Amino acid sequence: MFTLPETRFDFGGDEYIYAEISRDMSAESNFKALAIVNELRERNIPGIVDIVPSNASYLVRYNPEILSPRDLLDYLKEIDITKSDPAQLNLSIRMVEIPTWYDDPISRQYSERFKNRHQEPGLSNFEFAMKANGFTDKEAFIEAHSRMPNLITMVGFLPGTAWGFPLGLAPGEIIQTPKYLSPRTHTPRQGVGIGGAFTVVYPVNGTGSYQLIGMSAVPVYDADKRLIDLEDAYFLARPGDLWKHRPIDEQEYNRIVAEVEQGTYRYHMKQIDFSPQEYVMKGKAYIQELMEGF
Amino acid sequence: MIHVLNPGLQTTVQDQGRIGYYEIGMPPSGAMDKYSYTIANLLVGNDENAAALEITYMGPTLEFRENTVIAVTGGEIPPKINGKPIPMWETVSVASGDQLSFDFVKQGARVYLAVAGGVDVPAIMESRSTYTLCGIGGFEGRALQQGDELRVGPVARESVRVGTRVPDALIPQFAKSHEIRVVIGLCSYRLTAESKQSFLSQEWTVTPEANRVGYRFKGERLGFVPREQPFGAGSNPSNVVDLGYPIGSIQVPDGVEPIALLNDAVTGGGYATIATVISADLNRMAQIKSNEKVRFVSVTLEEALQARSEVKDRIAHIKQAIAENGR
Repeated sequence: MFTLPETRFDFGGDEYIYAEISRDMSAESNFKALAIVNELRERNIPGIVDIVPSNASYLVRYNPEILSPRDLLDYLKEIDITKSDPAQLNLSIRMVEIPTWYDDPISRQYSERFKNRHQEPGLSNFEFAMKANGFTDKEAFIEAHSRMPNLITMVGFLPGTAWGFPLGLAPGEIIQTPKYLSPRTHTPRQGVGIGGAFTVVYPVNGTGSYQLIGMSAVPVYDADKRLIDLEDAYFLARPGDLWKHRPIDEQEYNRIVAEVEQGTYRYHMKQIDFSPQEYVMKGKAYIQELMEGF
Repeated sequence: MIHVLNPGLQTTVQDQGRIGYYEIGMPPSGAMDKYSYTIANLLVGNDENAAALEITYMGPTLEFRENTVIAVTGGEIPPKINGKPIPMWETVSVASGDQLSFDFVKQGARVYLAVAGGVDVPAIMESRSTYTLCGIGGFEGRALQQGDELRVGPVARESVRVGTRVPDALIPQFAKSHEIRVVIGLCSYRLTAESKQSFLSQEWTVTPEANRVGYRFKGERLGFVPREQPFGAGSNPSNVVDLGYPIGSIQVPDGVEPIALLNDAVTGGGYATIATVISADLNRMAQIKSNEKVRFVSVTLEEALQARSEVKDRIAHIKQAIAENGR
C-alpha cells in the first residue's frame, strides 16, 4: 500500500484551477494525476475546456460562463478523495517502443556546436551523462538507460514533447544529469535527451537544455500525417504511456528512417492494464511482467 | 483575394485559438486582444471565430483583388486606403485594386483587420490560428511575407452597413503605463513575503522580449523562501517539479525578470508560477509595448469574474447596436 498526500487547489486567474498533488516528483503522484484526469474526462462536465496532467499536479481550464469555478472545485475535491485510494488508480495505457541509436554522430555534432553553453565543453553530451552517472563502459550505460520503460508523466513545453520518468528502478539506479547551463538554440528533431531524471524525444528542431545522448529513429510528431498510427493525433505521446527505448545500430536506424519516410513504418506498441498498486508492491518485477513478449 | 505587397513587422492569421490540445503541449495561439478581434469580425458581419489578421507595431501594405468590406480595430496604427486615412472601429468598403497601408503606431501594439468572409486558410486542429514556433496553422504556418496571396472566405450571412461604428465609449484607449490585474496564487508560496509585496508595489518595465509567446519585465529581483528542493524539482530556488502553465501565468526564473506567458507560450515547465493575469486584462496585455510600464494589481477571483463579465457585456452591447443600426 502507499499513501498519497492531500492535494492543494488554487485558482489561476478566472479560467484555471491548479491542483498540486505533491511538491516532489514520484510515480505515485503521477498515477494519481492520471487517474483523476481520466475520471474527469469520463464525466464530460460541460464548461471544461482543457484537462492537463503534469508530473505531480494537474491543471483544468474551464469557461466560467458555463461552469462556476466553485462548483468545479467541488467536483475536483470529490474526485480527489476517491482517487486517494491506490486501488482506484488502475490505468489502461500503451507501451511504445522507441528504437534509439545511442551516441550517434548527430548528437555528437550538436554537443560540439553548443559546447560553449555546456559545463564540460570537452565532452560530448553522451560522455558527460556517462561520467555524471559513474559509467566508463558505453554498452553498460546504454543498457542502464534502456532496460526499463519510461512513464510519460507529462506532455508539453513544445507540442508533443513528453517527459519520461523511468519505472522499476531504485532512486540510485535512475540515470540523472544536469541540464545545459544555458539552453541550446537548436536541437535535432528526434534527438533523445536527459535532464534531471527525465528523458525526452524532441518533436521538432527547437530550443532545448537536456543532454543529447542519441537519436530516435521514429518521429514523435508527424506534421504531414504520413504514418497510419499518428493519423488522428499528429503526436505520439499520451500522458500515461510507457516508452521503452530499444538500442539500435546505424544500419537499423537508417532502415527505420527510410520506412518512416515511405510512410510504411508501424510503431511497435501494445495496450496494457496498469495497476499502480501492484507496481508499488512488486516494483521492477511487475514492469518486467508487463514487458514480457514485448 | 488579398495580395501582400509588404508584410509589415509581424502579421499573422488568427482566430479565437486552437482550443483543447493543451494536454499534448499545443498552446492556443489565437488573437491576443480578443476584444478588438471579436469586434472587428462583428463589424464585417463575420462569425465570431472567423480568421482575421493580427498586425503588430508596423502594419503591412495589402492590395485587395475584390470588392469587400473590412474593419480595423485594436490599438492605434492608423489605416489608410490608397494613402487616405480611414476610420478604425468602423465598417469600411474597399474596391478591387485598393491598397491598405498603415501609419506609425500611435498607441497600443496590435490591430486586427477583419475582412467580410474571413481569411480563408485551412483549419488545423479546428483552428486557423498561426503558431509560428511549430509552423502550424494560419498562412503556411508563418507570418505573412511579400507576395503572399490570401484567399477570402464566402461572404458572411448578414452584411453590415458601411459606416457602422462602435460607440466611442466602447473603444479602449491605451496609455504608456498600465495596471494589469492578477490573481495571486499557484506556487506563490515560494516567494518571500517581502517579494510578494515587491511584485505588487514596483513599477515593472517591459523588456524588448515581448511577443506572442510572453512578456518579460525588468525590475527589482525577487527572492524565494529557502528550502531543500524536493526530488525532481531542479536545483534553482525558482524551480518546482514541472507543472502546467496557465495562459497569463507569471513566473520568475531565478528571481530575475518575471515572464507573463501568453498565447503562443510553452504549456508547462519547471518554474514556480506566482500569479495569473485575469482574462479581461489579457486583452490589454496585448496592447503593451516594450519599454512601457506595468504595475500588477492583486484581485480576487470574484473581481476577476466581474471584470470578465463587463467585457462580455460590452461585446453584447456592440452586437446589439450592430443588429439594430448596422443592417
